Amino acid sequence: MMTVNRPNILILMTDQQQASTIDPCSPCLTPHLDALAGEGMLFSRAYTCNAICSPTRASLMTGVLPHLHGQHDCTHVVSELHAKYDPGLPTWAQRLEEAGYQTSYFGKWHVERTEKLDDYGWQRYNLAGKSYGEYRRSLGLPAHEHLISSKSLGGRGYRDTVLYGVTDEPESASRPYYIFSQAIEHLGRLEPGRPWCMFVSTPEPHDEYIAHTAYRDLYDAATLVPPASWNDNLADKPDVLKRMQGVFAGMSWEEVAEATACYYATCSLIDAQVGRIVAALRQRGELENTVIIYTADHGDMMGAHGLFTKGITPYEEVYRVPLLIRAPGNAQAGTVCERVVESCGLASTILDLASCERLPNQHFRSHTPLLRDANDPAWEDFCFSEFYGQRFAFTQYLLWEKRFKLVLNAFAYDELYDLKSDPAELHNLALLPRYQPIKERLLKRMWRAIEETGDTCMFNSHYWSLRFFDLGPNCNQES
Amino acid sequence: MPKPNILFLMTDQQQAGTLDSGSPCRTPHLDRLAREGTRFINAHTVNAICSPTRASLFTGVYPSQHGMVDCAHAVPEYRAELRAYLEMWSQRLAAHGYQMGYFGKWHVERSENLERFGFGEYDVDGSGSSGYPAHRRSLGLPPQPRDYVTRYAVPHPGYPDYLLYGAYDEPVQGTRAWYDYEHGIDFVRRAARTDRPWCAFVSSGWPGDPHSVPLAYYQRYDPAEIPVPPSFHDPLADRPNLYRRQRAEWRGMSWLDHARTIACYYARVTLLDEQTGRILRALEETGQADNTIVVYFNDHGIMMGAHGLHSLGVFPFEEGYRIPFIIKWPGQGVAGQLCDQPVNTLDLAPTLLEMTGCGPLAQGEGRSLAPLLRGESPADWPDDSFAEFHGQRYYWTQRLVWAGRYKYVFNAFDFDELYDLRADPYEMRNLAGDPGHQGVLEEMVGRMWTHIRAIGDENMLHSQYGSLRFAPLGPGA
Repeated sequence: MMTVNRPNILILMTDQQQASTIDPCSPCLTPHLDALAGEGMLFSRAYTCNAICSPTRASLMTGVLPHLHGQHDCTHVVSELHAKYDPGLPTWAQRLEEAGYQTSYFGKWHVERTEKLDDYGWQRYNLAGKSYGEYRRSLGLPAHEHLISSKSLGGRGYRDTVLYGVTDEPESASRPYYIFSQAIEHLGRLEPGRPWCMFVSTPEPHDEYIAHTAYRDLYDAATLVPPASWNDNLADKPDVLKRMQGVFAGMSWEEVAEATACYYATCSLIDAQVGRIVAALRQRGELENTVIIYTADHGDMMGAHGLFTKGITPYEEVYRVPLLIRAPGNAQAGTVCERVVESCGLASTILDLASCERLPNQHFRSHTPLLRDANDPAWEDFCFSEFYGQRFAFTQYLLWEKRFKLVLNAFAYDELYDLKSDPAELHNLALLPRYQPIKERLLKRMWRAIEETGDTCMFNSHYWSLRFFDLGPNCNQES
Repeated sequence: MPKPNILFLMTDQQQAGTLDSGSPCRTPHLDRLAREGTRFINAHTVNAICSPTRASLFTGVYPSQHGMVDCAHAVPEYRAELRAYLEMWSQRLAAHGYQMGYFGKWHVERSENLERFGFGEYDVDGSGSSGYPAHRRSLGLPPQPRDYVTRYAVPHPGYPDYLLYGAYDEPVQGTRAWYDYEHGIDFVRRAARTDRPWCAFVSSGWPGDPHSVPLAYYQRYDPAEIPVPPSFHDPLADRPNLYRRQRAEWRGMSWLDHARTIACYYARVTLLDEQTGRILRALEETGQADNTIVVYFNDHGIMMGAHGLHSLGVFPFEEGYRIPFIIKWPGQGVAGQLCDQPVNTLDLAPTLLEMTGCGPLAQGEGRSLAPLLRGESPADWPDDSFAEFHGQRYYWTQRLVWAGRYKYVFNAFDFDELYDLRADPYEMRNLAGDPGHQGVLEEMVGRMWTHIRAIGDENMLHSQYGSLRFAPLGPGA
C-alpha cells in the first residue's frame, strides 16, 4: 500500500469541527481538503471516543479509553478531582521518536497539565500561547481580536461571553495562520534524510465563533438551512438537555444562521492554511513521501436539537468527526469509506504507516485494513465511547453498531437511534417495547466492551442503587 | 485538670428517624444517652455515601476539598484520593498524648494503616488482618451466616445475588456489631488502668446493608405492624427521571417484602443499641463515665422505603441526609437538650478539639458545637447547611442547601428540587418550578454559590461555559 517504508507524517487536528463541514456537498467551503480527499480516503463514519477536548486528545495520544488514562475532563478548567492523566502510559509519538523520527508539535495540547511535551515524545513544540500573544503585539494588535459585530451569551450571575462575531483583522493575524506558519517554518529546519512527524493543532473552530471578514463574506447566512432537528422539543430525551436548550432559547434562526456562517468561515480559513502547508510540502518535493491526516477531537451541535457546543450531547453532530487519511500510493485514493471506525485508532494507524510496533493493549482499531479495502468484509462496524462530564460530572456510554446507536445515560433514561431511518436522531427508540431485543443485544455488547477494556470500576457496579440497566454486567456469562 | 476521654460511637446508614419519638424502632440505650446529653435534631451529613463523609468527619472539610469524593474501595485512585497534607483530629489527639483505638469500618482512605492517622490500636473491617473471621471460628460459626429462616434478594439478570433482607439463627456474639463493640469495651477497660486520656472510636457497619440479622432480634418486630412510609406511594413525577429509573429495581416487591426489610433494619438498630448499652455500662463500671465524652454519630442515612426507594446515593431526601447525633459532655453539657440549630459532619473536628483543649486544625469549614452543648444560643450561628454529592461509581453532580424551612437541590444532570420541609416534611412536592416560590429559589441558589465560592470548588465555579450556564442564577449573582 505505501510506497515509502518510513514516510513523513503530518497530522492536522482542529477543535470542535463537525464531520459534515468536509462532507462532499457541504455548504461549508473547504477546497483544499476536498483536493486532499481526492488523493486519500475520507471516513464518513469516524467517531470520537469522548465529546470534549482533553479526554479525547489523551486517548488519541495513548490509544486507550478515558477510564484508563484518567483525564476525564479538560485540563484547564477543573481540579484534579475529575481529570488526572496517567503520565506512565506510552504514546505513539514516543515510539516514532525511538524509531528515529524528528517529532514536532504546534498549537493546542490540552492532553495533560504539565505541558512538557518532550516527556510525551515531542522533541520540538510551540503551544502558541504566550508566543501567539507576542506575535500579535509585533503586528501592533491588542490581545483580543477587534470585533465589528458580535452577539453575547448573558444570564444572571454569569459572565458575558461572546458567542459569535466578525473581526476585521487580516487573516495573517489569526491564530490558525500563526500556528501553521510556525509549522511551515519548522519544515525548513528539519534534517534531511530522516523522517519527521509533525502535529499541527488549532484551537479553532471551537467557540467563540469569530470569523474573519474575508471568509465570512464567502457565506450568505440567508441561504443556510436549519438542521432537521432544530425544533426538537426534546420530549423523549434527557431533561438536562432541556436545561441546556434554555441557555440558547432566545436565539432566532437568523442568529443561529449567523453563528453557523461564522463557524463555516473559520473552517474555510483553516482550510486555506491546509492549502499553505500542502503547497510548502509540494515546493520542498516532500508531498509524495508524506502521509497527511486531517481530523478533529469532536464536533459541535451548531443548532441541532436547539443546542450548541458539546458535552453531554451524544448526537452525531458532536461524535462524528472529520477523518481524512492521505497515504501516498494508496490505490483507494478518492474513496469514501462508510464503515464505523474510531478516530482514536490513529494511535495504531500512524505506527502502522511508519512501520513501527503498535502500543500495547490498545482500545481502538487501526484503519490500515480499510486503507487497503474500504469495504473489508472482516471489519466490524462497532465503536464504543465514554463520556464523564464537563465541569459537571456524568457517566454516559455510547455504542455504535451498524445502523444503531445506543446511549446509556447513567443519569436519566437511555437513548436508542436508528441512524439509517432517523439520521437526525429525532426518535428515541429506547423505551419502545419492540426495540427491547435490539437494546438488550447492544447492552450486552456494551458490557463486553467495558469488561474487555478493563473498566473494573464499572464492571463491578453491583450495588443496589447502581442496578438500573436492564441487564447487568454479568449478562454475557449467564446463558 | 485531666483531659476528658472520648468514646466515639459511629454507625452506618442509620436514619435520624430511628431516634425520633413515635418511631417503631426501639432504642432504649440511645434514648437514655440523649436524656444525659444533647441530641441534635437538625443534623445533616455533607454527602450521601461512606468514604466522602467519613473523610469529612476526620478532616473537617467538604469532599471537594479533601479529594475523597467517592468510595475508596469502589473507584480507582485517580477518581478519589484523600489529600495527604490535611491533618486529622485523631492525629492531633495522639500528639497530645491520647491513647487511640479504632474498631470496625474505616473507608476513609485506601491504605488502612491507621497508625498514620493517630490510631495506635485498630482492627478494621474488611482488611486481611481483622480478627473477626477467627472470632467466628472460635464460636463454631461458618464464615458467613448460613441458616436463614427468611431471606430475599431482588432478582435482576446480569447482577449477582445481593441479599436485601434476611434473618438467620445465630447468637448475637457472632455479629460484627458485637465483635467491634467487644473490642471497644476491652480497650475501655484496659485504658481505665492507665493514667493517660484515651479515644475509642467504634465504627460499626451496622445497621448498614445487607439488612440481615439474628432471628432473636428479627422476632421483636412484626412486619404486619410496620407502618407504610408516608411517601411510599410518591409517584416522583416531578423529580429527576433517574429516581424513577432506580426505583424500578424494587418494582417486583410486595409490601410484605418492604415491611420485612424495614423490620430487619429496625432489628439491626435495636441489636446495635444493645451494644451501645454494653459499652456505656463498661464506662460506668470502670468509673470513667464522669470523665468521658460520648459522641453518637452516623455517616449518612438510607431510604428504607421512603418514596418507594431503598438504598442511598443520588436521592437527596431527608431519610438519606438527616443523621442521628448525640453528644454527652459530662460536667459541661446541658442534659436532655434537643438542639435544632443546623449542624453537620464538619462540626465534629472543631468540637472534639475544643472539648479536649488540643487546638483547632489548620483547615476547617465547621464550627465547634461546645456553645450549643452548654445551652447557649450564639447570635452568629450559621443559618444554613450545605452538602455535596459527586457520584457513586457513576458520576453525578449535585449540591444541597438547607436554610430555615427550605431545602434546595441543584441537579446538574436533570431539573432541580425545592422542598418546604415545614409544610411538606416527606418531600412529596417539588416547588422548584413553582412561580410562587421563585424568590425563595433564587435565595437558595445564592446561598449555594456563597458556599461554593467559600470552598473554592473550581469545577462548579467554571460552569460558565456555553451550554452549562443553566443554574437559575450563576456564580456571580
